[in-house]
Amino acid sequence: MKTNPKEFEKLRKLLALKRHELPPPGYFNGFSDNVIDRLQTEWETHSGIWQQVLMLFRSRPAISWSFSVAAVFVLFAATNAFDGPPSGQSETTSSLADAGNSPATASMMFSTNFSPTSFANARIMLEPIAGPGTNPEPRLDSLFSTPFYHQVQPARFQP
Amino acid sequence: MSTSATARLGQAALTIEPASANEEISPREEDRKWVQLAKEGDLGAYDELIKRYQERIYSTLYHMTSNHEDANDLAQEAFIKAFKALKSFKGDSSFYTWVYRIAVNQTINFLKQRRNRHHMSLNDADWNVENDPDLVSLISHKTPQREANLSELQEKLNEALQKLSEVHRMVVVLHDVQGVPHEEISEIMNCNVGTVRSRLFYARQQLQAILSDYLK
Repeated sequence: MKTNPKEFEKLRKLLALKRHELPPPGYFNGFSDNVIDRLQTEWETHSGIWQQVLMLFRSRPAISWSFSVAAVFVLFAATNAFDGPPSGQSETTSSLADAGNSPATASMMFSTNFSPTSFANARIMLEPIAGPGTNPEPRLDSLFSTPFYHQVQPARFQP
Repeated sequence: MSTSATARLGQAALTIEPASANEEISPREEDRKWVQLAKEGDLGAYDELIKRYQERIYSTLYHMTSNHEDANDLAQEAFIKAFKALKSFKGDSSFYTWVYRIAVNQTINFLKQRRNRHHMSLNDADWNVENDPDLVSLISHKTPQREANLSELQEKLNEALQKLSEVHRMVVVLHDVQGVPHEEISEIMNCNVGTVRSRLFYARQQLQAILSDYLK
């Protein structure tokens, strides 16, 4: 079929009339808002709380800065609170501290030459801790009251 | 963007300024910056991109569907789909071409499903068309347009377009209605320029046959 280019020109002019078909006035004013609203709604429905918080921080740097400053302040306050002297100590902690003050126990705790003999010494050194005012009954050795037994892990034993 | 949306997104002061007064940012470069921000989740930046291309995308989809509601839904869907796929956008083509491709593919799929449903809304036509010099020249001779009123002419045009296959209609709409060059159409439709030209030629032949009474 042979086509006359001039006729195509007429056709193009006719088709160009379609450019006058426009949407209702003001339609484009709210178009992007609709898309953004739909994106936000969809995102809020499907994303987790952490993703939302992360997105909030990304979109609003002021909030992320405020949060960072607050976090540093809380951390600093918490560190100061734990640096002060403890108000009360448990018996075990006290015993351990007392035991640590004894030269024999200290040498036991920091010695790398652990042997069954030093193990026995350590047990003997514990007895003075139960001083006057404490329970007169003989104390049974307990794994829980002698935590310093675990302090040294010897690599060699003497036969 | 509306005031509420600006407040909601907190992007009121977000603008892209050139590094110096003399330096001008090309639209493509500007797009790239908005895209980068949008990729990081900045909806304000994506709002700018939507505003930049909403009219062109909507118009193409409207001429493809001949229906305002369908075009509106498809255009919104295209922008939403594009935002979700933004991470995969490498920047090899322009954002405009990329989002156009999403809209075109989505519309072609939609039209294939909608084949049997056919209705048009021509109430929204801009009535300044009567003063268009092309129309005046077309109806100044002895043609059936003289008798036909404007609505009928537009209806006839839309009917003729709807008789084309989706890909042929897309090429005609992009080139003859929207004025998009062949090379850009080939990028949008992911085919070579030769295919675009041959599709355009075939589509015009078909339209010419359908609208022969109006082209004498």
